[in-house]
Amino acid sequence: MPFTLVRDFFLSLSQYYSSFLLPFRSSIFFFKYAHFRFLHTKHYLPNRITDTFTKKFGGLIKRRECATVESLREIYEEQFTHPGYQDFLFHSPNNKNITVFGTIDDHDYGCNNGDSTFQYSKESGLAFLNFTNEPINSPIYKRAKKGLGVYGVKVFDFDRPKGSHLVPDEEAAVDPDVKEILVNRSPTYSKKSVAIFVLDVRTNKTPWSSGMDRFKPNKEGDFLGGEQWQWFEKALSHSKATVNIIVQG
Amino acid sequence: MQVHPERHPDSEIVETWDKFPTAQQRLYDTILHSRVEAPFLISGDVHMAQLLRKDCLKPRDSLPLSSSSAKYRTLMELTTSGMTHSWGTCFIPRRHYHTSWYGPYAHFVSKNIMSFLHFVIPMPDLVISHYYNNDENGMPRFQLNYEGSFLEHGGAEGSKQGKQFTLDLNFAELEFDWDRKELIGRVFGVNLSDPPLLSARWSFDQLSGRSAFLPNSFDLSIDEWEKHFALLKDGQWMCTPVGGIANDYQVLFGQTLGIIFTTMIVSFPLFLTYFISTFILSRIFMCNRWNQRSKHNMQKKKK
Repeated sequence: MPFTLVRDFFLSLSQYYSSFLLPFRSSIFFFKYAHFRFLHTKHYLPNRITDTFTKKFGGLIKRRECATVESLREIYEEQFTHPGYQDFLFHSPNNKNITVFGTIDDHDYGCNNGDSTFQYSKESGLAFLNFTNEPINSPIYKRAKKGLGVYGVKVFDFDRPKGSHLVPDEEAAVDPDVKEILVNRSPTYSKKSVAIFVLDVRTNKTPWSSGMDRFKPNKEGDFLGGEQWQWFEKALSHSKATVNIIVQG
Repeated sequence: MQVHPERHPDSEIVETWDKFPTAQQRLYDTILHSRVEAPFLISGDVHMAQLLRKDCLKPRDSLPLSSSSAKYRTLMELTTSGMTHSWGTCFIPRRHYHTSWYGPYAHFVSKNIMSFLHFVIPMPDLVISHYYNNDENGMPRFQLNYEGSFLEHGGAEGSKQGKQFTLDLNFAELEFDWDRKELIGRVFGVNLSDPPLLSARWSFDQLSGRSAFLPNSFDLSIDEWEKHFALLKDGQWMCTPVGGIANDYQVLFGQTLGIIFTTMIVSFPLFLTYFISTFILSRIFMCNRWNQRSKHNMQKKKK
């Protein structure tokens, strides 16, 4: 039963060259947001390469630049109003209350191989969270608003009825930024629970070294930044889920 | 961004966590110290799907140093990326590379280059299903788990055998089998009536370090262990790819071959048109030495 519906759904979407699936069993799907839009790719090639080309050929080859707030909004709006994505969100017959959440990688971020030096890093994170309809009072959104990055954790309890697998943040008590966390409290979710940690490897990333140094590993480089490391360590220690999945870029 | 691999040294071309080794080590330590149940890594970014494994060891203070006396954990990583483009369609993700007349050529080049690199460049972290790993009698070297399933290195449900990577368009699914207490990882392609491109399953106990994984092909002498452990600070885990540590010369050799192959395959259609056109021209003008000789032979035979 599951697969027939999935297949039809998939085929109708593949005409648009973009596709999504809906979860049926107690399963979770992972897509690469960055790669499902061609539009994102205008920020694609490394600037290092295009720079040399533009110097040589002048205006012949357009230089690829990092995104602006405007272009990010346009991209996400186009994706959100995409008929395939709308179908996935609102018209899936077999699935109510899909939780879409995740984190950004360079092409959602708006800059190929992007790092903390990107000037719109905060705006980019918020644009992504608006796209995934993250509630404004959730800890993920609050952190992104402070400019710390798009990272967080959600717990899914598959013992609960279909459509309400997602455990509310305060009940799950895994995220250290949620109030009233008692460390040794017995978990309110069952043994059939999954915690998904998403980490942001872009907002706080050290830039790649330039010149010949980029061939050597950089021992001082960091992906997550101090705040996110502390958050991650605390959140992991709070988790009592049966499976813990760590997702990044 | 992939956590496990140690690939191309240029960080602008291949972004991986090992370009910042301190951060990579901290991630491993954070995950393994936290004692969470069944940790599992998911990543993307590389325009293909791969299943990766690293085995992590931590020496115990009281016991003498060897691989058997250390604490032992395995960290699996599933990489999935590319729902609209991947190495199997065309690496360059601009629409005109997929739709214009040179689309098939771009597809041919990118797909072949990447599959070649997978077999030339040592990727010890890439999981290989044990389809090929038979003993002298042609029997599987390892015992099956149950019901003939033996799936922690992939190849389940009619999926790909051998090296666990795929260049096709893909997305991943994780299914949780609560009755058997197992995690099932699948990578699907465009056509869902086909079996999944990659499929593997692990028990929660295995991922939590309570029961063993398949043995790795990583076998070091005690001297080598000591050398590696000496680099670690107190309480750090040493994570090594499932296939051992790649030799620098192997990497260099693989990359050289890769460059040669790339230049060859990019220019291959040019060579092909050259040979076909010269062949046709020689047929037309009959001024080729080879033609003359064959003519001569024919006349001889007639006589």
